[in-house]
Amino acid sequence: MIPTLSIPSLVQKNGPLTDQLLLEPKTLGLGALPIAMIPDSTTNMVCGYCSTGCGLKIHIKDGQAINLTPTADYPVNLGMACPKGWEALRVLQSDDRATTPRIRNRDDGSVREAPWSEAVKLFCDRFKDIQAKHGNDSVAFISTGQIPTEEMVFLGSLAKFGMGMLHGDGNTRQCMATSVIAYKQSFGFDAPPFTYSDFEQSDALVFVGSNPCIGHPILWQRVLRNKNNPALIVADPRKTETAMAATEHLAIKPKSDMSLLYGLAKLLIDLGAVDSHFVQNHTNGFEAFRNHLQNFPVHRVCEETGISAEQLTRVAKTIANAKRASFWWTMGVNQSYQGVRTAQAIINLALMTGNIGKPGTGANSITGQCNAMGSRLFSNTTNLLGHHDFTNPVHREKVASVLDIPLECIPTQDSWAYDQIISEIESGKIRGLWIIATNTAHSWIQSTRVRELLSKLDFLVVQDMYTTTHTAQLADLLLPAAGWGEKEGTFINSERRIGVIKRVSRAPGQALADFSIFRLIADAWGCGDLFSNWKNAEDVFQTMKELSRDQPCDISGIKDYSMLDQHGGIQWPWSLEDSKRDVAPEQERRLFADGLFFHSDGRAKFIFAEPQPMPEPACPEFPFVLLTGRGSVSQWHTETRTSKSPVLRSLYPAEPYVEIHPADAVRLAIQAGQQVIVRSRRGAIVVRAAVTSTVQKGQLFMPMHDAKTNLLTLEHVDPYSRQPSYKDCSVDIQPWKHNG
Amino acid sequence: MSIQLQPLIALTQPTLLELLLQEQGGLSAVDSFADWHESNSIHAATYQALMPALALKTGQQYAFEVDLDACSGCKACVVACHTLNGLEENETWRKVGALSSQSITALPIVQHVTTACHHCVDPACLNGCPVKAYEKDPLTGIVRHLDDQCIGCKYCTMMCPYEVPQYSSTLGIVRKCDMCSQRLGIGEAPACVQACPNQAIRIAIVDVSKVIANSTLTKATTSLVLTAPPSRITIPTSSYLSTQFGATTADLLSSESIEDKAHEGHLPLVAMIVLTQASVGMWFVLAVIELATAFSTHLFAAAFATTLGFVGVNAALLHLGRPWLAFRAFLGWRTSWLSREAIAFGLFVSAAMAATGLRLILPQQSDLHGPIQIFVVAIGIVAVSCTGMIYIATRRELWGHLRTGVDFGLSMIGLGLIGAFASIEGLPSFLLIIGVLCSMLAATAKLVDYKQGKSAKVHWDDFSVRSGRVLRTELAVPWRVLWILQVIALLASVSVCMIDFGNTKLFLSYSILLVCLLAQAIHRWLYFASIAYRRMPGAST
Repeated sequence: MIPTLSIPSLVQKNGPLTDQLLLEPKTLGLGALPIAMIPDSTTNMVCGYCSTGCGLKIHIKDGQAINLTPTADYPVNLGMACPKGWEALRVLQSDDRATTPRIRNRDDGSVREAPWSEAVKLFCDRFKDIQAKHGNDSVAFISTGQIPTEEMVFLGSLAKFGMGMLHGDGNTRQCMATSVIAYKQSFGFDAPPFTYSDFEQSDALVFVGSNPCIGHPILWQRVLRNKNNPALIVADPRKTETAMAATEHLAIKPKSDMSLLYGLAKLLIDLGAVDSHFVQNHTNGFEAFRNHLQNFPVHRVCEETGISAEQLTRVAKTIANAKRASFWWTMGVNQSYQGVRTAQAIINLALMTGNIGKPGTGANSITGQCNAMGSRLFSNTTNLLGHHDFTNPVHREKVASVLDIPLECIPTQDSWAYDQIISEIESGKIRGLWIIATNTAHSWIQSTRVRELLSKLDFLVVQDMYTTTHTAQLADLLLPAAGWGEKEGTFINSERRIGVIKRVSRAPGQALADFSIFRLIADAWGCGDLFSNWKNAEDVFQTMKELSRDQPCDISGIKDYSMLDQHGGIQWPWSLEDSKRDVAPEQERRLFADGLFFHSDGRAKFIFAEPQPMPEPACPEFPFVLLTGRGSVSQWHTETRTSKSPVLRSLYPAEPYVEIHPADAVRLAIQAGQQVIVRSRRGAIVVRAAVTSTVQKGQLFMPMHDAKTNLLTLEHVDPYSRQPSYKDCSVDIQPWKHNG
Repeated sequence: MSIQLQPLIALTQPTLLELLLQEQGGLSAVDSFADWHESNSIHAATYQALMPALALKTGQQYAFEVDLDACSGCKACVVACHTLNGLEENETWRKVGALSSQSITALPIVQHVTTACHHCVDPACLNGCPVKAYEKDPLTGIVRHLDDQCIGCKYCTMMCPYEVPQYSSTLGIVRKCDMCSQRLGIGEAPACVQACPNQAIRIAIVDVSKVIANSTLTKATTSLVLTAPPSRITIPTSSYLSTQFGATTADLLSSESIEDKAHEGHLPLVAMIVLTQASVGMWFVLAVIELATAFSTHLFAAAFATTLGFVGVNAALLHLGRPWLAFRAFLGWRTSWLSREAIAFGLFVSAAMAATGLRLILPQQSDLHGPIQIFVVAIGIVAVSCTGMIYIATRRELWGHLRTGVDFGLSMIGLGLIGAFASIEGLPSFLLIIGVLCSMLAATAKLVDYKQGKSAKVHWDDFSVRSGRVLRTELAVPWRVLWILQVIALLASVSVCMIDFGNTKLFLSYSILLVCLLAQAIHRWLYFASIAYRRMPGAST
């Protein structure tokens, strides 16, 4: 501060410093705001972190976003946001934003900035060259759940229809693939049936491998708004914040959830809690399921899960007695080598008790990323646009006709999944890779191997907002992308709600919206004509409507972005037929109220399997099971964005840590805060010890946000969903003694 | 198409790239979408229940009430406070800590604790402030910081047991939560209250007499939550409600209680304390020598001591965020030891300069020297005692009366003897050794901490062990340097005593003084940096 020229007085109760904190009361329907931050207008858009899909009111001054507050009348978040949402604009300002294309010299590792024209030419030349030598399918792409659906449509179409790629997948493989397959097999379509008001209307909520207090804090708000004094049953090896709030915490052994769920199913049958009418009229396969359950008597389940018979019975009775029970799962189930069957064990509980299609019920997967749901329907990776099937000629014709492109452009084969694309780098079948808005080198399981393989590629293109991500640093070519807040499009949230994002902030330097980058590449590749109808995101949205027509996810009745904006987002389906009824779409709608599922016979299926042991159990050399997961509300995934906010950084530990039970810590002479070395068969890392009894003896927990964690994890995937199983590998832990 | 035409085309028809870059530069949101001006979107309805329904009566005040059962640790309150109050980038007035069970047998528990200013009945920030930059609103009880009155001395950041006021180096002042009094004034809930998805924070009306009774009449260690500072110090008004905090949860600990890190060392304060102690000590020794013996007056020693004091007092200005306002520092003399210290040292330095000047003018006239010298020494000792009280008043155990008193007293005498030995010719050498020993012994308590720090078991309220662990880890290097310097000084002083160095004795004496001043500086720096005390969960975030 510069001293004022006037003689300072002895007592000064007001002045420039006091004025800095003056508030101006109520402007533009907002609460009081600091006078320096008074907007001249506001606009509403959805948040770009998780799939909750909160509405954020952007405060705008002279056309530029200056601040935000959570939108009070948005049906999702009701005026609340988590710290990430509050700081969503801040992370756009960062020194490590990519502002111009960057080309890496392989010989000396140096990186130079290049004009777009050179970058795009290099992109086309290198990939075309690889394709000419090794076939079109030797170049693949890895997409994301973090960009708007319209950009996913463009990317998937450009890569597969324009550039002739066969293989492309998204980072949604790491979070939601299990739910997709589970729903598809059980319901006939990837259809999460719930709406958020189900949290408020349930009598018993069962959370399996789900910690909404930390993972989805604004959904937890909805749970607390439940006026029924509901039973809250949480199955989780850790005493998480959610488990703390539970009326019943099932502290099961890692990966014993399938046994638990089958055990509960058997007890529900024994208690007479089966809704026979529903099972008979709306499902297939219950008899076989009932027979399967005979193998899960209480004593087996107790032995495998480590919980008591009393607790198991008590929980079964609670579910049986609940008028409306709902079942919720997140990554504890999805990120498992037997995730699909586990998710289906949850679905089976809802089906057999008739807890589906009614308020406060459902077998409900809480999604991860802001637009994982968009990716599931429209990314054109493992499904053809609009959740169609590449191998189905009718579907291919429909898509060709909607896009007005030659039928031959559409591949007739399915794509490899993420893990297969990575693995085929090793065999030399994948030689060029284009990674968009994801941080593979940090986030993919067993990352020592991933980094090695990525550096083996002939050409790696990374498209990202930041130059510093682990993956961007490996790139031969980095394309600078605009982020959330700097571009337009739509996201689909967990409850199938489509919400709009808008361009409210200027991207730095020459960074371009991914959409614009795709246009540039299409043009340079020579396939721009195929996509000449797509001048902006809303053009693609119109195409999406046509693609969705007659699918369960039909959105053909949504007119345009302003309609989405006016209604606080609209859940799918909203078909042309719906729109003709001349009523506004209700704000909260759920699926299956009519008991009709999407299999051709309209029935849901009971699907089940025998639980399998984890492939790398604890052993004398590696006596601990390492669990991984979200560390705090303020951190998002690999932290490429959240680490850019000083306030968010202050809300979580500065250094990576491992949680260990006090008994194990005492036994190994590990003190709280001390550095420890954690080893697995794949690597060793040094982190700080956090001693807490919220983890069980013999288990360790590490947040996924630090890149070190995946140096330990073991690559193994669910055979149906090919989703990696991040939460079970064996490790050892010892105090770290550096050089004496 | 001819080559010459190309630039012309480029001029008239922008390329796709140019179009896209241009498009990226535009901001479409407001033009393309209906403004939401009209919607009445302040969600007052959701927080009405969290606001006091009745008016305040005499003897009541507003207070934060936290429902711990509802707090899930999302920390939205922290960021909402930051955003809605327009705070600096790193500034957060609300913090969230966590208590979790540490014992082998305990039930697994994690409990997040959201904390901001507790708008205490007897606010230590207000009592400690030397410039009266705090007010407690007589009606609402809100403790407000007067930003423009603040000189940035940071004393309130030490005085507040909850570490609520936070210093901003860019602003040069501290700032703190005022319960969003501007919002309360227009019937709006404070930022944290309106932003909590779980409605875990509310504004309650409390009876001040009840708060006092709850804080003082029960156990001496009654605190807001487990491991928090004792409530009797400031009588905080916040309350934390929980159905889960029973007898079984007595071993919940926060990371603040088990993972100590080094604190700020306050270099300007270190310089100030060491130099003023040396100055007062020298004047003290000088007075004893001159009054008790037949020595004549020592002009050089007096001038040297006075210079040290003058430099020391001015070094304190470097500690201030807004040093040009230091003249306000006497305002809080009724309650603030810092004000008293400022006044006392002001008098000390003035008197010392006068005494020195007198020696210059009247080197032989000794009748006047005596009384003024006694005054200089007396006010100097008062001033050094005030310095001690500044830290004693924080009620941190490791800065208690005995520790601080012995430490400061020995430091003063030690440096005084060493300084006097160097600047007065012909003093017996044993005085030097005694001086060095005193200076060394001042660190006795830290030595105890260091020894305790070896203990494998730490009880969270054994502050000596906790401090010792920091000395053994993060502060191991300065700790070693301190003792190397102490030993060097001791060996040198012994050799000065035993060997005749002739002309180099003077040089050696000053070198020993310098080494001891350095050692004292490190010792004082460690006094600040290795402090361990009861902390509110979340205080270290």
